[in-house]
Amino acid sequence: MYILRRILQAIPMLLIISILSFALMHLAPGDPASAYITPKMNVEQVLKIKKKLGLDEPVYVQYFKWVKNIARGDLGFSMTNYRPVSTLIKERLPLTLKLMGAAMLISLIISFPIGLYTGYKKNKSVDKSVTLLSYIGISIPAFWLAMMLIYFFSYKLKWLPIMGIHTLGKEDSFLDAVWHSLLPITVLSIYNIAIYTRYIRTSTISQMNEPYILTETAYGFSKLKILMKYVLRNILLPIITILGMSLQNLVGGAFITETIFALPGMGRLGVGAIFSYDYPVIMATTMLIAILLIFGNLMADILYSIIDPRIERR
Amino acid sequence: MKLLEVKELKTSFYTEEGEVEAVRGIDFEIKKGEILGLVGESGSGKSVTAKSIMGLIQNPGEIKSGSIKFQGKELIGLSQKEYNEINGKDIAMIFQDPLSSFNPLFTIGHQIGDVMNRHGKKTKNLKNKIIEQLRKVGIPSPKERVDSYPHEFSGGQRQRGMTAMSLSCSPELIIADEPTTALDVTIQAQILNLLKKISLEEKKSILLITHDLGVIAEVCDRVIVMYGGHIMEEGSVFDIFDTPKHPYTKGLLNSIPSLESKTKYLKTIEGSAPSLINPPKGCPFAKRCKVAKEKCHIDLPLFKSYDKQKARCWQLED
Amino acid sequence: MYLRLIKDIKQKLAKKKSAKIAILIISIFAMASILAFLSPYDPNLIQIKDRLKTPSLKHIFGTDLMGRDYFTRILYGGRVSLNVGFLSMIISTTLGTFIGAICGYYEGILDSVIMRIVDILMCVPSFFIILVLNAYLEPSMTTIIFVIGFLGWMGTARIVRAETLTLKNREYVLYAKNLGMKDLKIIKKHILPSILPVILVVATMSIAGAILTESALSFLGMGIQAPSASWGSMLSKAQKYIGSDPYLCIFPGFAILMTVLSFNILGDIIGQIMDKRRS
Repeated sequence: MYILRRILQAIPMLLIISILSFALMHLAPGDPASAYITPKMNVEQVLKIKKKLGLDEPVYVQYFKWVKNIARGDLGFSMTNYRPVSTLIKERLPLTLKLMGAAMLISLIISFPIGLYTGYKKNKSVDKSVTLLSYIGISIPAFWLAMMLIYFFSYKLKWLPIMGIHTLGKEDSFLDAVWHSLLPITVLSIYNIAIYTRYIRTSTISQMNEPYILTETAYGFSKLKILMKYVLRNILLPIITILGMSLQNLVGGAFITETIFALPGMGRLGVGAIFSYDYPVIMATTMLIAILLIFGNLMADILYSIIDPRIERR
Repeated sequence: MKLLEVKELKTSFYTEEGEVEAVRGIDFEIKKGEILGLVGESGSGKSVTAKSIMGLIQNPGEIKSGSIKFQGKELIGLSQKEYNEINGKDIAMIFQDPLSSFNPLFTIGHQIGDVMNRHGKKTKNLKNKIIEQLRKVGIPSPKERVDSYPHEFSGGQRQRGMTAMSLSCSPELIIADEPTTALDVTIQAQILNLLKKISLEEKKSILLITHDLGVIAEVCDRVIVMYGGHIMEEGSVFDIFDTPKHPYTKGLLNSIPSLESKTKYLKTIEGSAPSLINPPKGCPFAKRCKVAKEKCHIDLPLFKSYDKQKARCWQLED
Repeated sequence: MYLRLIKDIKQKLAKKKSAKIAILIISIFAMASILAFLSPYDPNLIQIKDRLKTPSLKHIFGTDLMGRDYFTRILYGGRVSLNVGFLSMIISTTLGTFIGAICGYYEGILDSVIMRIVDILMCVPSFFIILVLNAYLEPSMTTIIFVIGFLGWMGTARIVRAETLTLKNREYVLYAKNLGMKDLKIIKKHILPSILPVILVVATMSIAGAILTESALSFLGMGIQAPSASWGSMLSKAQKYIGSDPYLCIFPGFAILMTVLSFNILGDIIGQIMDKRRS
């Protein structure tokens, strides 16, 4: 089955990425053990610590041990706060996923009708403004946009909070979290809205020029019906493709957004880990993001094969 | 009874380079149950004629003038909505490339069903009716094939499917635009026979557009020869093939290679089709015509009639 | 053949108003950064007594928290951004074109293997990796250029490969092959000129992307280090002062926006011209 094949193909990719992440950490300057070592220790104590961390064994053994541990769910301990990495991830991943998911969904909801409409009507003036806005959307640096929005909505108008995901004391309030998420999600969505809109518009125009659309016109279907039934279905394919491709950017955006808005998510954890050379966390984050991207692309491929009957699914 | 009557049809496209006069004033008619062949090179205006009849000429093109009467009703000037009522129901088109003319994401049965639903056949047992249509055009195992996608059919079967779609609402006129050009020669014959059979059995009229004279000979009752946006000659198949009057028609017939001929070189008509932007005055064929006179370059020849045949050439005046 | 293509592009570009504006803006930024040395102010000279002055006639963009003239720093920052953008584009485009053309032309096992590698690399979070690599490699302009360049070739490779595959089967290539032309010469003479337009578009867009990436890196602290000015790092320092001295935030970000926007528009217009040429 096609789906099975794709899933199986994903596994070696994961393996290769795990090797890459591991290699990355071990080629890094700086001694992973240095966090535990103080100048006062003698050689014996240093060796003991290294042995405890498993750093005295050959590289490939360390790798296999690491992979074995991951399979068991043990991702090691953070070197900055000594908490288990898996706990840290459990605490922070949901927020990041929610942010990314919400941003993708909102971007799609906004860009779909706009892209469809501008592609269908090809109205000169609306087209030009939408195109210009799209250009700006993909050119604006996310962190700057965040700062500008914070300035206007948080400082000047005081409508929205500056940072964080909760106001003190309101940790359980869903609405409060949403209120805090508004700006971050906006920032995260702008780029994608711009990209999706232009892509959907181009796809719509391109679909409407296809020969089968002429056939449908020649058989008496109204332009609107053709758009809503046939063109819509046909542009689902390129939309799925672009959704898959936008995952990378969403991840990058998450880093920046969480940093600026001080949100307790994976992005901020990862950035912090890089600065503090917290290897276990860096490795876990890399693997996690890779898994996310591979999974995302896999989903996109599977969805694509369901909609497009031309792909062999046996 | 005249099913279709076209008078002085002029259709142009307005491009950056200028106005392309694709159809420059043609007249013809199709009777009920008749198969009329429309033959000409690319750029002669045949497809544009077909599209004009169905109101499919979009920006930057338009029908400049003329009249197209279908069952006595004038088509030019109808709103898009009114065209949508007629297209598919009273007049249906078979397209050249059935692979790209079907939507790849829907089954052929679904697409035919959509057409039938569109034109008011809200019947139960729609699926059975579709299967019946497929069977009529000779698609084997129609019960299974109705749920197949376009890419799962062979070229010939796809074209049969297209034919089925065109017949689904029982139109009086079928316009087949180069229906066999994209097919193998053997399959071509099958499709042409199918069209002939349908016309005979169901008394449908067919406007068969092609550049291939062999196709015309197989199927058509009457023929129109188009060149440079004008009709050059018109007549029954026998008349045209037996006694062609126009130099262009003669040239076309001469260039059909025959297994019996002993010549080493293929006969061609030298030169190429005229540009339809600011087309030359006079007869469009004059530049390539071997027997052209000075008058041919200045005035468009008038038709000279021979019983049921007519041709437009100054040579015939002498 | 290349000359004719370039002349054609220039002609068509001259017609479009938006293209002219984009080119104008890019030229202004380029000229401004080249001529930055003409500024009477030293971008790195700390004058605490002049700190945080709002824009005035003396300091067009005001001064930053160390008293340095902001306008001059923006100019020098422009140098950084344009350099990084341009040079990393060269790396990623050259690599991408080379690999893409080879894969597309020769196909076979080589193609499959390399494309699988590309697939895998594209699942790697490049921004994160760039961040990590920069952390290790003592961030400097050179490392940033190389890192962005080496992690950005994949997109170009895919596109070039797709184009090469289409072109490879065109008749004139088949004829050339029949005539016994050497592969490399075929690629150079027949395929490259036709994919040049596509490469041009991709190159322009990748400059835009590189500038954004560099500024994001510098913003997070992993890019150009102090005291050098980079628009990203200027923004990161300005964050704290957003309430009190918002102008510190507005100018660098706006500069990034205008530069990136111009390149994106330019690339897109060239793309549209290419599309028209093809049909």
